[in-house]
Parts: sequence; structure tokens; C-alpha cells
Amino acid sequence: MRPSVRHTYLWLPLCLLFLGGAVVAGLMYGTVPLTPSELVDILLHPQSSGLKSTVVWQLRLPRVGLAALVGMALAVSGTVFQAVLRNPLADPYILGVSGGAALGAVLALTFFSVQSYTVPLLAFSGALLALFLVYLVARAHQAATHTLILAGVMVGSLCTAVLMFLLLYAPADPMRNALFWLAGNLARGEERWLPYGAGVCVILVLLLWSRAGLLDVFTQGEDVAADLGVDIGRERLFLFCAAGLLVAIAVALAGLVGFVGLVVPHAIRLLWGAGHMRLIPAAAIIGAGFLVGADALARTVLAPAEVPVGVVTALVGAPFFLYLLRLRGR
Amino acid sequence: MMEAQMLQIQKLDFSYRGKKVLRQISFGVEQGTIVSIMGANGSGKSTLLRLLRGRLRPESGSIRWDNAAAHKLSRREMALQVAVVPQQLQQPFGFQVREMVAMGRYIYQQPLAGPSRQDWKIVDEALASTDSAHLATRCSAELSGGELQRVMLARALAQQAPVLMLDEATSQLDMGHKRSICLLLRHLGQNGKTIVQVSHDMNSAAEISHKILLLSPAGEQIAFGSPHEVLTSAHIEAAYGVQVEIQRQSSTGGGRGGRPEESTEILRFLPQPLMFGSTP
Amino acid sequence: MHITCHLRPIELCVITLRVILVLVCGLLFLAPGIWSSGGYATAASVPPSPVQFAQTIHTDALGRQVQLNDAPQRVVSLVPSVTETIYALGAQELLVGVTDFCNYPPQAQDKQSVGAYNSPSIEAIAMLRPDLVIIAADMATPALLQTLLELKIPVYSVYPRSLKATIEMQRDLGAVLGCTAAGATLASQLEQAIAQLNQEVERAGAEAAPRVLLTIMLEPLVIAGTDTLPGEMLACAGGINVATPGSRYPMWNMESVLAFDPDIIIASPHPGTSSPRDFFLRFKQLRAVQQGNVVEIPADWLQRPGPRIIKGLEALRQVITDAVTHTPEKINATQR
Repeated sequence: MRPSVRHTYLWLPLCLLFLGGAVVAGLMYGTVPLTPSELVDILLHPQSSGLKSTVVWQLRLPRVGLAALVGMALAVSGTVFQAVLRNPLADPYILGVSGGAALGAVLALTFFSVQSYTVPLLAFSGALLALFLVYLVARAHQAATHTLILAGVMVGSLCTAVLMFLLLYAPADPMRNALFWLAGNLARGEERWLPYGAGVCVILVLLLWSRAGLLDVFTQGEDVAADLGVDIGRERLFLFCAAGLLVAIAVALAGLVGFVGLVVPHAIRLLWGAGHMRLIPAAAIIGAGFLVGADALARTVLAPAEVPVGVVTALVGAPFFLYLLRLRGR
Repeated sequence: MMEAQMLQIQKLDFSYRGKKVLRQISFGVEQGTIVSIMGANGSGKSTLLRLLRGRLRPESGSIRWDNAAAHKLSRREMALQVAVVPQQLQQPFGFQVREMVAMGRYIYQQPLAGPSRQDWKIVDEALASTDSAHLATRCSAELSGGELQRVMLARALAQQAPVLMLDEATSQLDMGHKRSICLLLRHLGQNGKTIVQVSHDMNSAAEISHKILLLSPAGEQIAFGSPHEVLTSAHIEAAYGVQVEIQRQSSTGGGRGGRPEESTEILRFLPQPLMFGSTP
Repeated sequence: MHITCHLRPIELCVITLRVILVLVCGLLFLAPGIWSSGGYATAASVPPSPVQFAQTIHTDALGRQVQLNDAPQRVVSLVPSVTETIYALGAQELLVGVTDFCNYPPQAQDKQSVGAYNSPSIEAIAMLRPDLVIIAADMATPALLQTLLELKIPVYSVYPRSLKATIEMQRDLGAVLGCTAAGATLASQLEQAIAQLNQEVERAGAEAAPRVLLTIMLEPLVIAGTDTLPGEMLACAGGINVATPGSRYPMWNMESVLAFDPDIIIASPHPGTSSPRDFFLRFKQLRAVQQGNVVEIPADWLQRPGPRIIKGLEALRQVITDAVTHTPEKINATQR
């Protein structure tokens, strides 16, 4: 089997089909059951009131939108980090972003915590600050990629340590909130911010897509990339900033949703090869669909209660990924 | 050979972590010639290649490409000038071979656009010239070492730079492919490509090179010049610490294209009495 | 495997470990009771007490036979509700150590702290030279118990997860601390309050029972199910919990709240979180919002199994009767 050549022309329709299916599932399933015809009816009459209309328009649509946005951002940034660091194990949180975001969130919940937007704002700043710190360390070292990864792990640990220290002094309730928040939660979408977040994310994804050739070249290692004409320092800064911004936005909007950024890029590479011209848009679409679908499942299996979405992404994603590995391994 | 030297190295010194790696290296490369850099392991050959393409900054002395200091050229300018065939590379992700060769076209691509039809044509030609057209749709991660080296050479060719640098790029090839790459390099040289290579294969280096730079284990320049000037028993013993027997044979003439021009001899170096292959 | 064929074995191991870790965490999340479901109960032991007081053997919440002084002099409480109960028993003079979380009554905060509720410092405990440490059963890890035993510090565990267990705990604490009468009084106060509520509810009749959502946290929306202390208190006060019967603390979402549309929403806001009114006011079609029945009751009254749950019970009953008397016809309409 040659993953790179198979389905070359089918990838886009397949991706879109997957996303479409996930969105329909996300809108149809939940505590309030809907039939397909009801859903169509509700979508065609946005002005109508009533429980089901409210549920679809006010709850499920924003949530599906948020899941799609976060899924896209995580999958694309995971793709970029894996390519730039040449490390198949890289996930969006590898460069200490999770630690920074966590610290920011806990700071917000412990000390400021009056307005609900302080949490995403500080998580966002924390994530960027951690990235910046990693980058400073790495620059000082003329970074090999493993230096970057090590710096990321260290900054992450440092943040975790400060966080643990803070939690000793924090009241129990903000701590509990912060932990829940960090586990990833799509219910608390700041609806006001969603359009801006979506705008920035889409621009970043398009920007990264436009540099698909650059990402291809980066997978050959920075040494080779330099010989192929890449200004490593500048381009890597650009890629880190773009991918880091994507992660920070995702974290600020939904906490730390795991697994999407690790598994989706790999799954697509296994299906359609590693060329970023295809990989970036496919990761964006599949990542969005994957998280929308996972969230639909999370809301449905134990309805009226819900399962944390990170549990579903791992429970569904890991076996599927292992199956793909095995399938392609033959 | 009255052509201008496109690359000039003068009194180059370089240290790595306080240790002198290269001392007082001076030589020049003319356009359309093949220069081989030889020496024992650790004598600074790869470092010298990196210096030549501006990846490292000389400690003292100068490296000039058409009068521009190597380390002052941007990566893009350098990539337009020099294409590199690297040493063995790990491939963490599986690309289609054609996609990999197309990476050589990176500097010519517009942002937002992938490789153009023209680019793909160049890619296919490069693959064909390295005898690897049949690999075009294979996955890079499943190539053998030798296949990968040929693909890397194809990528460097697709880059269409006037200078080709090879860093032990034929080390993994079997005898037949090594021979055909050798002939390809000579052919490229005849067509105006300048080639600078690091090689351990003294026989083929002597056969195709116009000039050879021999380095001592301490990074000193033992000799620079035509193969029959440089590759003497004394020089080789200084470089490698082994005694070799040198057979000088008259060239059979046009069959080898009569290169190198000044030499009418073919050198064969026999570190040991056993000899592989037949005398041409 | 072509694509990831350069994963080295160590990397594969790391991936596998990560996957396993995530899956295990996931399962733990789904079964939160897993830690607290006993399992340490077999660690029966009799701490050799060096002191010469008269001693009695008590059975604690872990089923351990614990030999304790009849009149302990230096008590460390590692449970906020126990601290509160000790004050209610009037035995606060015996209390030498508490946790950071023991914030009621306010003077409890003046006592020496031995650290957080879930991670007390053993050295701090040992320095207080207690002759009794009271610990929550779900925090009593075998290692902690073992260490305290080796230090010859008697440990008594409590596990008040229900009204009945809370009553028993009050009685048992009285016995353990040498103030049996006070313990009995405290317990019977709670019993009487419950009995009184039961009568009231019975008089009001089943039709008047509103459907209630008990929230623990708003973001994310965590609610108290029927199999919890607040849930039991709600049932006692005559409310019907909208959560799935048998549930503990499930995470919900607004869609479920809209679908179940409770008559009353009770929230226990924590300092620094968004106000429940603002949170639910976004959904004007909620019956509880329309009728002004989004109510706040302090978390400690509902979630802390100490003497103040009487207040919690009364507050719940008050909320329910208020809701029924203000809008009786609507409440009744929902029951049809």
C-alpha cells in the first residue's frame, strides 16, 4: 500500500463528508432528542421559539462551532509542531503551553476571578508567555530541536511547580474550578469571543497552509532545510508564533482538550501521506469534525449528564489510531 | 583553465569549541570543475563544506563566492548558488518520493502555490537522470539507503544550482550505482556544473576530479592540485597513515572522455594487494 | 508500517504509556467513587497506647477496631465537618490541630493547622503529640494510617456520606471524645429536625413537591445527584431531584437543564465564581428563572456533614415552601 498516492483525489470530499456528518450529529444528539426532519425545520425557522429551537440555536450551534474551532486549531498546530520539531510525539502542548495556560487560569481563578473573561485571558497570556520563554531559551542555545523540546518540558514543569505551590494557598473551590477547566470543557464558550477567535484561527490556518512547502522542507531537518534555501531562524519563529497562537486561542476558549493535536495529523499522514499541501487542510477539517463528533458523543452517552470531552477523544481516538497503525503496518 | 575562480578560500582557520579544526586552508574552485576534499575521519572535511556554504563563520581567513563572503549570503542566495546532497538522513514522516524531490524547488515557489507544472517536469527529469524514475511514487520512508541517496541527489539536481556539494553522498551505494553516479557527476561537470564533494573513494575521486584537496588529521592542508600531483604515496601516508601502492596506467583515450585533461594517466590506489574490479 | 517507521522503541513505549494513562484517567473520571469505596477496611489493628487512661475499643468507619482513651486530651481533626462537630459538642478545648480547610466556626482558624485536608503534614501532626487523630475514611490511605500507627498515634476514621451516617458520627464522636451526652443531644437534634421535616412534607402532600436542580458548580455545571448528602437533604425537605436516580455528582450542560426545566434551581456560589442568577438568566424560558426561583444556599450548609446541615435542611424547606406558595398553580401544573 502506498498511502501517499491512494485516494489522492478523494481526500477533500471525504474530509468534508466527515465534518458534515459530525456537525449533523452534533446538532441532532444530546439530552433533547431530535429527528432529522425536526432539525431541518428548526434550522429553516431560526425565529421560532420553543425548547428545541433554543437548544439548537443557543446551545448546540455555538458549541459545535467552538468544538470545530478548537479541533481545527489543535490539529493544525499539532501538525506544525510535529513537522518543525521532526518529532512524531509532539503535540500542541509540547512546548510548555499547557503549563503556562494552567498557571494563568489558576492565577485568574485565585486572585482576580471577578469577571468570567479573566480566565481565558490569563490562560491565553500564560500560554504565550510559556512559548516565549521556551523560545528565548532555545534561541540562546542556537537550538537543536531536542533542546526546544527539553526547554518546553522544563518550562511546563516549572509552571506546574508554581501552580502546585499556588494551590497550597488557594481556597479549595477555585482550585477545583481550575482543575475542571483544565480538563477541557466546551460548554463554557465565551460566545462574544468566538467570532474573533474563529477569525484569527482561520487566518492562521490559511497562512500556515500557504507555507505548506516550507513545512515540507522543515521535516527534512533544519540543516537540510537551510541548504534548500530556508531562513531557519525567521521561518521557525513564524511557524512557532502561528502554531502557538492557535494553541493559545484553543486553550483560552476550551481549556486543555487532549489527544486531538496528536492523533489527527498522524491519522491523516497514514491515510494520505505527509505532504503539507494536503495535510494542513485535511488536518483542519478532520480535526474540527473529530472534536465535534467526540463532543456529540460526550453529551449523549450518559445524557442528561456528560462525559469530559478529553475522555472521549482519547477513548475513541487511541483505538482508532492503533487500528490505523496496524492496518498500514501490514 | 583560465576561467575565473568562482570560489576562493584564503588562509582559512576554524575552531570548534576551542579546538582548531582547520588551519591555513587556501584553494580556489573554477566553474565547471570537480573538486574532491579528502582526508581521514575527523580531519574537518564536512566542517569545511559547511564553511564553504556559509553555514559557519570562519575564524580567520576568507571564503568568497564571486567576491561575496560566504557567511554574508542569505540562505536563499546560497541555495540559488549551491545545492547540497546531505549525508544519510532519517525520514520521520513518509513523503512520496516525487514530493521529496519537489522540495528542491522550494526557493522557486511562490507562497500560496505548490510546485508548478514546470517544477514537476524538472523533478521528473532529475529523477530520471539519477536512475530513480521508478521510485517516483514510492514512500520515502520505505526506501533503502542507496535509493534514498539517489533521491537526495535528484533533489539537489532539481534545485538547479550551478554548484553541487556532496557530503559522502555515495557511501551507501552499491558498486554499480556508485559507478553510474560517478559518471553522472562527470557528465554534469562537462556540462558546466561545478562540483565539490567529500569522498572516501580515492579511485573514483582520482578518476573524475580536476582538483583534490587533501587534509591531514589535524586539519592542515597537505596538498591541493590535480590528482596526480596530490595523490602521492607520501601525501597519502601523511593523510591516512597507511602505505599504498600506486599504479599509474595510461588512459585508453576517448572512452573515458579524456578527463582530467592534463593527465594522461589513471591512478589506482591499492592499500592492500587485493584488487577489486578489472583494470579498464 | 511506512509512515511512522522511524518511531524508536522507546518512543513507542512512551506513546503506549500515554495512551494507557489517558484511558486510566478517563475510567477514573467515570467512576469517581473508586477511591472511596473502602478497600482499606481490612487494615484492622489495635494501636498500642502508651498512656494509662481507661480505654475502650471503638469500631470506626473503616471497620477497624480502635482502642482509644476514654478521655482523649489532645485531638487533631483532619476533617472540617468533624471540627465543626467538636465545637458543637463543646469539646473544642481538646482540639489541638485542624486543617487549612476548617473555617467554621471562625475561631477554629486560630487552632494550629497541620496542612491541607487532602495532604496533612505528618510531622506537624506528630509535633502536636495528639492522643487521637480523626480522619475522613476516603483520605486515610494505608500508607498514612501505617505511618501514624508507627508513631503510636491512635487514628479514628469517619465517613459521613449520608444523613444517617452524619447522625451516627455525631453520636460516635461524642462517645470517642468522652462527651457522650452532648453527642446524643446533637444527634437527636438532627433526628428531630428530620422527623419534623418529614411530617411537614407529608402534610403538604406529594402534589406540592417541586422539581429541583441542585448545582454544586456552575462552570462546568456539576450537580448533586440523589445518592449524595445534598440530594438526600433535598428529598428530606420535600423536593424532587431532577438528576438521574442513583447518580452522585454528574456533569451536566444547559441543554439538560432546559430539557428537565426544574421548578427551582439551587446554587451554592463560591467566592469569585460567576453569580448563579447571571448564569441562568441567559435562559429566560427556564421556569425557575421566570418565577424567580434561582436560589442561593451556602455550600457548607448543604455539602458539609456537620451540625449546620440543620440550617441547610431548613433553608431547603423554606425555598420549597416559598416556591409552592408563591406559584402554587404553576407548580402543580408541572406535576401532571
